[in-house]
Amino acid sequence: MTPQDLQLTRRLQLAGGLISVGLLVEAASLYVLKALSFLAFAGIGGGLVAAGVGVFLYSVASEPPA
Amino acid sequence: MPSIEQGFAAFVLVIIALIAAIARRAGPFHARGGKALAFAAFFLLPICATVSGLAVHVEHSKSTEFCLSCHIMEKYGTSLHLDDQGHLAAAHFQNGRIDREQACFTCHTTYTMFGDYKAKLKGLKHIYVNYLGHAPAKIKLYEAFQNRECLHCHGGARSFESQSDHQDIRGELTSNKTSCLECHSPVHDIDHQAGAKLWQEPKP
Repeated sequence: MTPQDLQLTRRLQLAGGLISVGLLVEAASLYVLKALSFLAFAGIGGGLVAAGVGVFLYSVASEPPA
Repeated sequence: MPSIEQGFAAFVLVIIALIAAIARRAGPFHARGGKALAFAAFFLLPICATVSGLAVHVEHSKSTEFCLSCHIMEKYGTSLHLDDQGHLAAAHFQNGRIDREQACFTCHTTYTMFGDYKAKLKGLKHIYVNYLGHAPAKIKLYEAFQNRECLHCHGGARSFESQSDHQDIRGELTSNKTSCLECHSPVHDIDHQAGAKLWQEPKP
């Protein structure tokens, strides 16, 4: 595995972790019928998913051309 | 039949499994079609899931339980259970004239083309004010209650149209010149609830 591959793997793992935790928060928030659960969905879940998607796009954009 | 929440949870688990398979090592990313698969797993599907979840939350926001989850709305919730049929909101709630699961939304949305969306945007503002801003000591409607909201259900109903009091001022009611609430009040009497007898909703 080249250093570039290793770096890409780490970034994908970070992005995947953020997205996964964000989606789990979103899924959990749907089981609670309270205004606070909407805040958790949008603020925490949505924020983590957005951050993960951002890391993913950065890792793809910063990958050196083949 | 699985609920929409269970469907969402299953969708999330599929996405996470896909992400885990790709993120474990970068190999699949470089394989043929790997980038497209990664784009779907890390971008398209999470965004689809978030938008779907948002739609479910927006639907949840119609529920009475959702509205009354803010401490500031507790007295309004209590007013629905006052054991006095003279109270408009209580009479509607207890007699099943409105869906008890969506009691607040049924009367406080606006029955216009974009009324639902406007009501939900106002709801977003209420959440912001309640948790991140400063809620006013006394809650007021944004504008005077419109008869349109009452007539959405009562207009055309025999019990409403056949009453001579209504017939005499039917035009004024439609044009909002005379408010329904001039005769049908109190609505939410939150200042005189101390010690009031409350109606217990029968359990199914």
